[in-house]
Amino acid sequence: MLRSSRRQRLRAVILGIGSLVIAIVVLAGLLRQRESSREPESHQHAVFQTIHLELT
Amino acid sequence: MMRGTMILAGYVGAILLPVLGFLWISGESEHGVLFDIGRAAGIAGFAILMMQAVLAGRFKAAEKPFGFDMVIRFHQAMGVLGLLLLLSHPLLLALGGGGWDLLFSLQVPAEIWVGKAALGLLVIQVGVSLFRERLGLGFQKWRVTHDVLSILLLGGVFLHSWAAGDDLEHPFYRVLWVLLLAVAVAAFVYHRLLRPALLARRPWKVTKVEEEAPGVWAVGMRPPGNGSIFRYAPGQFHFLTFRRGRGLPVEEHHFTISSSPTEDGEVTSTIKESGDFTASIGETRPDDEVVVQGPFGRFSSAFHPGDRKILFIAGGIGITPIRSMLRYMADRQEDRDVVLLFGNLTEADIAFRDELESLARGTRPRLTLVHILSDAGEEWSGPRGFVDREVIETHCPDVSERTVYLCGPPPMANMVRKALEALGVSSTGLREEKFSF
Repeated sequence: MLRSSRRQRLRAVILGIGSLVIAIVVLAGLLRQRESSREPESHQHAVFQTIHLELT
Repeated sequence: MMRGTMILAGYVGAILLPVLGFLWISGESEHGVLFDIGRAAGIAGFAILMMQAVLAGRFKAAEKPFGFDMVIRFHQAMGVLGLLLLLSHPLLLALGGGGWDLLFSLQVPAEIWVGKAALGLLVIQVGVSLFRERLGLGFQKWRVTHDVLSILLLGGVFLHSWAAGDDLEHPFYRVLWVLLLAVAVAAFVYHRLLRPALLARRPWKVTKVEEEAPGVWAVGMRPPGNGSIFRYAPGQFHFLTFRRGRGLPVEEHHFTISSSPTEDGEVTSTIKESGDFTASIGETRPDDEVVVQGPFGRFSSAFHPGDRKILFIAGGIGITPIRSMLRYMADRQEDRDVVLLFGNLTEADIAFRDELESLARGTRPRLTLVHILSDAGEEWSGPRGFVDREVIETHCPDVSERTVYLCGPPPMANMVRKALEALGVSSTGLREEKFSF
């Protein structure tokens, strides 16, 4: 259906920003994996370990 | 355009800076790639949620380049994106090696519970907002719900990420998180508390209440003392909160300004009795107080001086912004070629009839006025039915050469859009503003 050019632009902006954010999120995760190495145990990891320990 | 681009760039920067910081602060990664993507999703989701308060804050600088309706629609879309990112956050952490206990175990630390609760509230928040009308939730009740859930959400996601987020131990994130929360809280407090309090200290006075057509009331307003009215463009709207006493409801609603900026001294909104609140609009009396916030909107021919040939299509009370624009054009003697197709039920329902017919007798603008009635009596000799393709083709054969301004109830607007598309009107030839937020 016909949409005004304002609405078409909005749709494009939403799709563009949404795609960009998701792409950067995925890219950040991938790059973080590549760059990561031998660092001390994290708090987050400790939390998961605690959960595991509590359950076992 | 430039300002709009800069605002968008600033928004995207506020969302992406925390994610990019995720790379800069290169921590360890003892889990899989999905785990790290999940962490980045949580960070981006947090930033999006914090910025939601800014988007909804009715800030003129952000509204002006885009229009209020577009900003609100963007806010809604970003809410969905934030939800998707934050829903994926625990799933990806679990899939990436964090383990499913994170999701399903009851024995998790308090900060994980806070995160789960916040996620649940976010699902409710987005769901209720998207399906408010289908759920039968009135705007005022929804607004209170939205405010309460927003406060709980902001607090919940902040506490969860602050306590559970490994990366947030870094000073960069500590500062950024506090900054984002401060921006969100400041925007929320200003929008919902401070600005309403400031506006309420200087309420305007109702100057007139006149019945324009059956159940359609013209309400004139003036600032206190000798204060001047705000500058507005014809076709814009404002938010009004009538404080009338007498047990009448005190609610904020948005109404189109039907007066023209060329009519000095006061601002008029023409309001139809159509809902719970507007049913009481005729009980408004001169000297009643009204809190006014505005103007907003981009639906105005004044913003588009290049629109020399215009087709206005109005349905019922949708005439109000068009009346404002026509009066403005006439008072400024603008040389524009205008066709107005005005749909109503009956002759009695036609608002501004005398004035529109008077304007049609003028030469600047050159106005061709056509009334279309869907429930006309036998004595009616004009077009009958709805503003459909046939009516448009008959009364405006050069429609594809004109810029169309459309304002009417959704079923009518949908029908007209289809007709316009079939008649070769392009998206750049259609101007519209949606008023249901």
